[in-house]
Amino acid sequence: MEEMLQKYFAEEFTPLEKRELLDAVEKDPELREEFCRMQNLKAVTSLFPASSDAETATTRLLKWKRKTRHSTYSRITLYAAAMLVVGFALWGLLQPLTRTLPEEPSSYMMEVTTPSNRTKSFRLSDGTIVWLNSQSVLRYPNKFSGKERRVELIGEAFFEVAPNQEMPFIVATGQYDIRVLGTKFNVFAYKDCNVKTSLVEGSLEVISPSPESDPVRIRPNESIEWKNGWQRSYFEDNEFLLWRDGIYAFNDVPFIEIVNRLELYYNTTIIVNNEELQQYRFNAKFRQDDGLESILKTMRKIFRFKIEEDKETNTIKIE
Amino acid sequence: MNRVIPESDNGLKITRERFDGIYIAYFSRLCRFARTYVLSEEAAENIVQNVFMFLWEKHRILQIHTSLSAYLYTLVKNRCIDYLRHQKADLEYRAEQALKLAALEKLDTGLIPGEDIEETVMAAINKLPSKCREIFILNRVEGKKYREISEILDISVNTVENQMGIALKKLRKELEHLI
Repeated sequence: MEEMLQKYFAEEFTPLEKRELLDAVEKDPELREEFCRMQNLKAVTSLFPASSDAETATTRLLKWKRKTRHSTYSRITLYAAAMLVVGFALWGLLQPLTRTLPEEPSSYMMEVTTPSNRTKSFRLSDGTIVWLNSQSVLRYPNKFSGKERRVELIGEAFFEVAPNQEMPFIVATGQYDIRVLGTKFNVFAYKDCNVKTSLVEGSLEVISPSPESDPVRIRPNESIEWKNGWQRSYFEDNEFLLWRDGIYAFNDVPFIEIVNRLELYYNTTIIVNNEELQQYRFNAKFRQDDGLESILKTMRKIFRFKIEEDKETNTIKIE
Repeated sequence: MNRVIPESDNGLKITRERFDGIYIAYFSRLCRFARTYVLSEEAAENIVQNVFMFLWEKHRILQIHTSLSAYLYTLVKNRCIDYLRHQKADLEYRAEQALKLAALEKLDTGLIPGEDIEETVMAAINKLPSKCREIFILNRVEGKKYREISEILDISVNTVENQMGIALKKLRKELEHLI
C-alpha cells in the first residue's frame, strides 16, 4: 500500500489504480491516516524554493499591477525587490542546490521607467549603479551572462559601471553603442535627439553607427555626439549632472535650449514664438519636482513672457 | 534568506516596500502548496492571489505575531479549507476531495511557538543524502516526472522510484510532528 500511496502522490498512476487506492483508503482508517500524512508531507515540502519561482512570481506581480495600476506603487520598488529576490535566489537559497540542479534559472529582461519629474537610482545584478532621469527607460537582463553586459537606454542615464575586464558593459542607444569596462559616464539619449556621451571618470569607447569608422575613445571631461560624424566637446564642471539629485542646472544656456530639455523631461510640447526670448541666455537651477509650470513662472520673472497652456494637445505656447 | 523575522513584540508589519519582495519570495511556493490540496492549478493560483490582495489591502493595519511564513501558510490553508468545503466536486472526485480536506484540517501550518515551518522543512530536505535529495527536489519541487528525472540523471526509473521512497520515509519521520 505504501507503494500505491507513493505512486498516487507522484501522480504516476492509472485511473484504475487511483480508484483502487481511494476505495482501500475508505475502508481502512489506518491507511486513511497515512494518506493524510503523506498528503501533508507533500504540501509542506513544496515550500522548498524552485529555480523558476522568482521569475514566475515577478511576471504575475507585474501583470497584477498593470491591471490594477496601484498609483501609490513606484515600479522601481518592484524591480528593486525583484533584483533582490533574484539575487537571493541565486546566491542564497539555491546555493546548496547549484551543484545538484542542472538547469540555471533562465534570464529575462527587466525594464525600469521613470515618470516626469522623477529620477530613480538602482543597482544592476553586476553591481553597476544607474541613475535614470525623468521620462526614460532602461532595459537590462535580470542577470548578465555571455561575453558582454548589454543594456538599452532611451532617455538620460548616468552609469557607475562595476569593473569587469572580461565582460565589457555596453549601453545601446538609438544611434550608437557605448562600450566601457568600468567607469562613470552620462548618456543623453532621448528619442529623436543626437545621443551625447559624457565621460566623468575612467575611459570609454563609442562604436560608430557607420560601419566604416573605428571605435573612438574619449577622455574624462570630454563629451562626444554623433551628427553624421563624431563631434567632441569639453565640459569643465559637473553641474549638468545635478539631475541625479533632482536638480536641473543651466549655465548660460539660451532659453530655447532649456525649453527643449524641459519638453523631454516633462513630456510636453513647448512652442516659443519670440526670437529674442529664444536666444536669451539664462543661469538657473530648478528643482525637478517643482514641476514645469513653476519653472516657467520663475524664468518669467527674469524675462517677461506669456504662457498659454492647451491641456488637450499637451502643448504650451510662449509669447 | 528572504525571510522577515519579527523584530519586537509589536509584531511584524508588512510595509509597502516589503510587499513586492514578499510576493516574489512566496507566490510560487504558496501556489505549489495549495495545488496539493485543490484539484486545479487555476484554483490554487486564485487562492494565493486572493491572499496577496488581502495583504495589500490590509497591510497598514496588520500585525503579524508569528513568523511571516507561518502566517502566509495559515492564510492559504484557511482559504483552501473554505474552497474544499464549498466546492461541489463530481462524484469521481468527491472522495478524493474529502480526503484532502481531512488532511488539511490536520495540518499544523507552524503556529508552534519557537518553530518556523519553513526552516524545519528546509533543514529536513537538506539533511537527505545528496542523490536522494536531488531526486526529491526534481520531482516534488521542480515538478519533473519519474521518467524525466531518469533521463536527466541517466538512471533507471526504478532507481528514481526507490530513491523517492527513501526520501519520503526519512522526511515523514523527520517532519512527523508537522504533518
